[in-house]
Amino acid sequence: MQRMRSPLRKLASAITSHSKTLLPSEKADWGRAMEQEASSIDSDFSALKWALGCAFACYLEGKRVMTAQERANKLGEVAPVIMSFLAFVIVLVVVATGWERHSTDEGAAAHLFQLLIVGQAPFVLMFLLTAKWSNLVKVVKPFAIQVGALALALGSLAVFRL
Amino acid sequence: MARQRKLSPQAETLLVTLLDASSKWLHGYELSQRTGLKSGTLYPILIRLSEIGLLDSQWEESNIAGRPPRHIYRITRKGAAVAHELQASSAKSQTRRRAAGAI
Repeated sequence: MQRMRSPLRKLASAITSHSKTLLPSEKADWGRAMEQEASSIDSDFSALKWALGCAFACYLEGKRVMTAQERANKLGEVAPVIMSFLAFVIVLVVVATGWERHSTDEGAAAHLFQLLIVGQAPFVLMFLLTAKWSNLVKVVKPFAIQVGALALALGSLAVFRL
Repeated sequence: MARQRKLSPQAETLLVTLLDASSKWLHGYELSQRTGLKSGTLYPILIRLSEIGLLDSQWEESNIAGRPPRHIYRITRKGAAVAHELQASSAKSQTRRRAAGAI
């Protein structure tokens, strides 16, 4: 009978299987080595620690072989999502704490929110300009995530009527 | 000829550990335990050492049913030569330090 896998073990497995996708194809074997090493470790917690280290190693290896264009593209892909998420967090903080509720002006939180939204434009442009359009999925998928994150930030304004 | 980059202290530790194991094949986790290196440091070094031909790697089938094969590592002849050099230079510098302390 197969043993039930603990949540820690499942997380470790998910991390290693995602990490190996960060490696360039010629190092795919190393990704498999890390994944299978993690699954051979008896302690669930040690396996998770191992998996987190592997994620870091794969990230470094992936970055090492990136060209300047690929790095710019990655930055353009990730930065807008982080900025939208931060904008969303600002909305939550304002709602939860009542920060600047009695302010007559827009206030610092609103300005920060606007900066985070407007500041995404150059990153999105960089992402689109450096994208490899021959692989449309690799352009459309991250772009859809960026749009989704932006919708989350702007939608939260509408939901909380700020 | 391209000059070989100097190895990091962690890579040196790993190489000397592999030398101590002589021709024995070791798993990644075992290497991590012997050297004290975390997986995030260990794998980039293993990849680098393998690329420059200082270590060999291969897959080993597990004896336990349901467990996937594991990657195992062993030092190459070239790696052993480098590790011997490292040990010799470390011994020399220790002797020098001791001599300097005696003055």
